[in-house]
Amino acid sequence: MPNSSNNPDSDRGQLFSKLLIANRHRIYGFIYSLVQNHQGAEDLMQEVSMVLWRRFDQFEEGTDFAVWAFAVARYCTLNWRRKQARLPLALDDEDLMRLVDESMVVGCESSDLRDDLHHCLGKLPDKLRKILWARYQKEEGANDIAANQGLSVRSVYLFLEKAHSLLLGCMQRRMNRNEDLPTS
Amino acid sequence: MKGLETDNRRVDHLAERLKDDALSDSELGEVKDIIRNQPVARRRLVQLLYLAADLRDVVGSMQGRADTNVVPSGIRRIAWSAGVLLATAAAIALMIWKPWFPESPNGSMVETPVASPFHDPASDAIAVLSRVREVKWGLGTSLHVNQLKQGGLVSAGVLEIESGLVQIDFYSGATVILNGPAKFRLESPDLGRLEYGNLWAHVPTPARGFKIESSAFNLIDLGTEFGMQVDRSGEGQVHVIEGEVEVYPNSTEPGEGHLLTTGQGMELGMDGRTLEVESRPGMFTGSAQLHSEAHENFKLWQTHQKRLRNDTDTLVYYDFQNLSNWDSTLPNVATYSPRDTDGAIVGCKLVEGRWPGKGALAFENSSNRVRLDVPGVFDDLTISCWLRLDDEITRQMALFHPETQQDRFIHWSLICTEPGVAHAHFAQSFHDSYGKEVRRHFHANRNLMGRLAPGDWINLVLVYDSKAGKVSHYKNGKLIAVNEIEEVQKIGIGIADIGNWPCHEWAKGTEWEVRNLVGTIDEFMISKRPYSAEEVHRMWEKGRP
Repeated sequence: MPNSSNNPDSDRGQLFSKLLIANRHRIYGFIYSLVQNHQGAEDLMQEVSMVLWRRFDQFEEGTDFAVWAFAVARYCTLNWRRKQARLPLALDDEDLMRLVDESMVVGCESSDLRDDLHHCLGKLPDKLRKILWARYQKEEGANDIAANQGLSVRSVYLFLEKAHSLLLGCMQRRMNRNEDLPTS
Repeated sequence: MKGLETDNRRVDHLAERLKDDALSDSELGEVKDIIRNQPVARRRLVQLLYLAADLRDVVGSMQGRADTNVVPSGIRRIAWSAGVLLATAAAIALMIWKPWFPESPNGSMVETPVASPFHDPASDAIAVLSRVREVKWGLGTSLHVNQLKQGGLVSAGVLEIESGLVQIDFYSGATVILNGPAKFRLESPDLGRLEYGNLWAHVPTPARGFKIESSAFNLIDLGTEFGMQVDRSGEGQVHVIEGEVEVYPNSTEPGEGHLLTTGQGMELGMDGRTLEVESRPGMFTGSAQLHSEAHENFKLWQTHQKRLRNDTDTLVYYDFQNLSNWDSTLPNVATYSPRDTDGAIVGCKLVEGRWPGKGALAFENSSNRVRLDVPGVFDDLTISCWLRLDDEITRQMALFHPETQQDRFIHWSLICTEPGVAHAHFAQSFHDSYGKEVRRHFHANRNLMGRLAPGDWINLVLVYDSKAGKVSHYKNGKLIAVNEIEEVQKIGIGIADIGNWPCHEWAKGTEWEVRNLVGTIDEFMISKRPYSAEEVHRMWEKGRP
């Protein structure tokens, strides 16, 4: 802990820092679900973080930081979408609001599932894991993965779909099991 | 199938296509229908998108390959305690901070504690490592690995080198060159301690009073150049090359030192015994080695740069040579340059570049820039820039940005993805047949450039190759990313700024307003020919400092 006694902003800054760290992945997930593009989502995440800090005095301690952040992220993201010449998923306003609402619900319900994700990744067959690695560590598109691993593009899609589906199922099962467990 | 809901496998497929930005029109229609009418499928689609975000985070931050699937939990824990850096009292700059796992001095992976969000490492610094040559760091080194590189700011601590040369510029103005093997303790801006090894020091007048201690004796410099050697038993010697030094063997009372002047030397034992000898400057070659190496490399570059400036395709070649602080023009020295393509220097300061004697311009604030105007349109393009960041990158920085009120223009910038890490971005803009501005973006994938250490000279090159249909990004002669060009278009440059951008009203007060470079440029070249990978590599090889 830095010595913050002579800096009134520090405690507040510490709190902000802690909250942002704890909720960063949920906010990023929310943004990504609306822009479906990691570069755009990264840029937005930076912007949203800045706006959140600027407005941090409006945040009520004890309430859900992520939910507060979603409102800011929603605004920034919709603004960003308006400025893009092309989007992976162009939607009219009404459909876009449906998607935003759904993303908000999923984001609010989710907690930090990344430990579960680690566990579930470990259970995937090597072949699927290799393709996921190409996708997320090297950020390759399906065509690149196909070329690099000597597969057809169709098989790459099938593998990717299978991998994501297995992960989603595994994580949901773990989540349900946790919900069944008495809290200690 | 459940009722009218799309089945899971189809949703999974559509989600993959969407993430790949590859939806066909009919697939797009299906996705829209899911969003509009199918709550169950819609939920799954959104969950898959969240999963993709988490996977990128989790898998993207794993060090291992797919077949080494288990990540040590310690590393993982630290990765998740990733934090946020609140920077400076100016206090708007805020960045997402991820820790990293650099090489330790002895080559193994070490976990770096997450930096405190409020701690500015520069505030403790007492010196800069201005040159680091082929150094093998010893285990006694106490300083943080991130500081142990050229340009690194160092706080009080111990440097131990098994071999190689390090130049330390103290904030007091004193310069010390350590020649390995050596162990040196930095105490304060005007105090160091040589445990063993060989050092050469230059102490200009303002730094007079700079002190070096050792086991057998202490020494106060009175404005000079001297060499000093201490063996592991603590016995040592001092040789004055020019000026005056006061030497205090352990046994002497304060104020009873020996004054040594130019040409004099002294050997000192642990027991306080002293022996005056003739100065032997030849023992201290660190300084000469650094200078002759720099001199050789400078000469190599000078030979190579003649080829670049005489190349018939070179449109702009700024070598930043022969400038004075009064110059407001940066001459285009390309032999076949178009007319009126000299740059206009706005506010930049003339400083030293990659080698002693090499000119460069420092871009220090949001007014600094070099404005130029390159007429014409081109099929292909190569832009090369030698630059040094003077601070850790924390936001977008323009390398070359256009005036956007033009028919055709290009952007080239560094986009910060996390503090100290950036990727290169190139954009090409033109107007379509309806007069609408179209902009195509070519990003070098995130983080492929690695960390951009402040103080390191780097060569960034961008190649637009219309025949190959590719945009290539290079760093230090190495290809780091290639983007396909979907639709080849002629390139226009027109009016543009190096190291800044012509800010517009709409950007005032937004985060886009400030994107000036904070760093130094000492070479900038634009060619209308797409350079091959070999040519780009040669440019780096002949130009590295």
